[in-house]
Amino acid sequence: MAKLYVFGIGGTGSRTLRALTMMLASGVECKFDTVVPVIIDPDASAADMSRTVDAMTRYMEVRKSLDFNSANENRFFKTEICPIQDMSTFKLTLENTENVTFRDYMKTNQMDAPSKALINMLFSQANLDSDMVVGFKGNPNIGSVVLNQFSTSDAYKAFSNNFEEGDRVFIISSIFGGTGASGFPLLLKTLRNDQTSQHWNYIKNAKIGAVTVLPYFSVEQDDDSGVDSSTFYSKTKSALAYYDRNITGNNSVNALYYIGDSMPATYKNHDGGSEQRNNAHMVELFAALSILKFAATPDNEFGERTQTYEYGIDTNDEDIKQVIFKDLGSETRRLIQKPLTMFLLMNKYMKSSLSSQYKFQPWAKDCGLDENFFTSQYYADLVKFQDAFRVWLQELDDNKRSFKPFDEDRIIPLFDLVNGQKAHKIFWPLHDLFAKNYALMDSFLNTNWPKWNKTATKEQKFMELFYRATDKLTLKKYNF
Amino acid sequence: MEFFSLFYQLNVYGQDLFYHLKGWDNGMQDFVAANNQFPTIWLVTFFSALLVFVVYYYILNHPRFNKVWHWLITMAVLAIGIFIWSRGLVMSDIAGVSLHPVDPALNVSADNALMFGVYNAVLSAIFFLFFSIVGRFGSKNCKNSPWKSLINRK
Repeated sequence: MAKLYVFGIGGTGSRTLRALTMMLASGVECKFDTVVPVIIDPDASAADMSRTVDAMTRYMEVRKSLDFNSANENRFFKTEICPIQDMSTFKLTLENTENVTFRDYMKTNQMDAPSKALINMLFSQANLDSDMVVGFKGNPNIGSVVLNQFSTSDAYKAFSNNFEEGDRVFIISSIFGGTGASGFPLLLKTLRNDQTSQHWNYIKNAKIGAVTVLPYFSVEQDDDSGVDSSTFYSKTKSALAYYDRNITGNNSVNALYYIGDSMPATYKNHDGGSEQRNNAHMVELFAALSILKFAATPDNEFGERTQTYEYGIDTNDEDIKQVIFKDLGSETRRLIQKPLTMFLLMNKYMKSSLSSQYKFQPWAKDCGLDENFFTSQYYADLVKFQDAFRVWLQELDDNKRSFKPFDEDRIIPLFDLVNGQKAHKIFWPLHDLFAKNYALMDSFLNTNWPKWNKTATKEQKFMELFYRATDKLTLKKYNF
Repeated sequence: MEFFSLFYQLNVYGQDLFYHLKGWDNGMQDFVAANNQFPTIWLVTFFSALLVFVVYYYILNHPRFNKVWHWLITMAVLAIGIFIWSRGLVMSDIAGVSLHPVDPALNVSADNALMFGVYNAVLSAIFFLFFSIVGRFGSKNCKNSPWKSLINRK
């Protein structure tokens, strides 16, 4: 089956991949069965990258116990996420960037005088003295030199060796940072022009999409930091001019998606490392939707010229502070509203009701879901992933221009948790009229499902139960 | 021996009360069918147990009311109701204010009425247990009440 390789460059790339992982876990549809993320970030300790890698790793752990044959209806964790074959990590490691300055990286001490003069003209002393342990600190001019190495990296070789006809590539980057702004054009040039790797002809002719994220946050002013958000818009303009000539202008990509926010959030100014841990933002969520849109576009809908897209929400209020599902366009709502609600309901039940009910409910007894199951490693991995999902939702809510589709902390009435959406009462069957909140969830979990795979594993049965129950529940309660 | 009185054969509530409920007429020295109260008593007891069974397993059918003590509470409510009704029926016969006053030749007292109430309550509980064993498998939330069902669709 064809694979979708998704390159996430820099911090925005990592955070968008995190959003994609959360959506795929909730069962949001992806037309590709397998997504292969590759993170390109010189900052090895970047907290955003670490969180994303943790989420994807735990996703894989949960998914490996599940089966997606035709007998099962479950779509939670349906899309496979895996690293490039022959690699054990999602990260593309950059060589010679730790404990060296940019000057040392370029080996200026080995250059002749004219070359040194050229270097001094192109790069400031601050650039040359910059260490790269936490990345390029918003300097795409440094990134454009250092990132040239990835075409010869082991990860790129592994990518090329495993790339097959029909596979696609998607690139996520920001246009106003250091790593993304430099990495995207370089990677694209390598993909389209390289003729040395094993399957270069497949890669050259593959469908390639990209999302370029315009400024959507700023950082606090800090004279000691290499990052200055007052330069974000000027860098964006420069980069857009370059893209106009060298990306859309020469049709290097088949589809280019733009997204940004005119009301940027303000974060603490950290150059990088474990302190660069920005809250999830809905721009990253919508950027992740572009990956799904690209995946869903048939080959014959791509023309000779680059197709460009821009994302917008469906509201007249440009200063809207809190976005909910109703403020999104119908296509977005159709794609994410139901899966995210289902996954959250499962999460809330697991957190608030499961431990006190599984010993008494038919759904657990009939499937043999006992204490051994609920203390298993599989269940622990699922709970940890669910915790990360809740943290992600909370961060989206806490951000400036927040995305708050749910009242996640609501206890009762449970089904008022979708903001802007009134829950219907269920009058039939009568026992569903009498059952409320988590008791109603138990009632749906206890349903005797037709075409139930009796031979499935306990892990599969557990996920199948919750998928079917929340599927039916969201239909009856919210009509979606 | 007619069907309904078969269930009341055990002599725990007094032979004279059994004769009275079966319709003993001292003047005729025989049982009169028109005075036989066992069919009514049995039918009320049986269908009350059935109604409570249906309510518990298929109407209420509540996932928070499916533990063994909930089932016991339900059975207790049924038994208490049947006890009150059965004892009251005999007491009104003793007082002579019903359609079937007790023949003075028969020795039926309040103690007999009490024991009959208990007897019929236990019978109703047995009916409820029977229905619970044979009829609960279609109940979504209570099929494992009072113990795990052997029929498992999962």
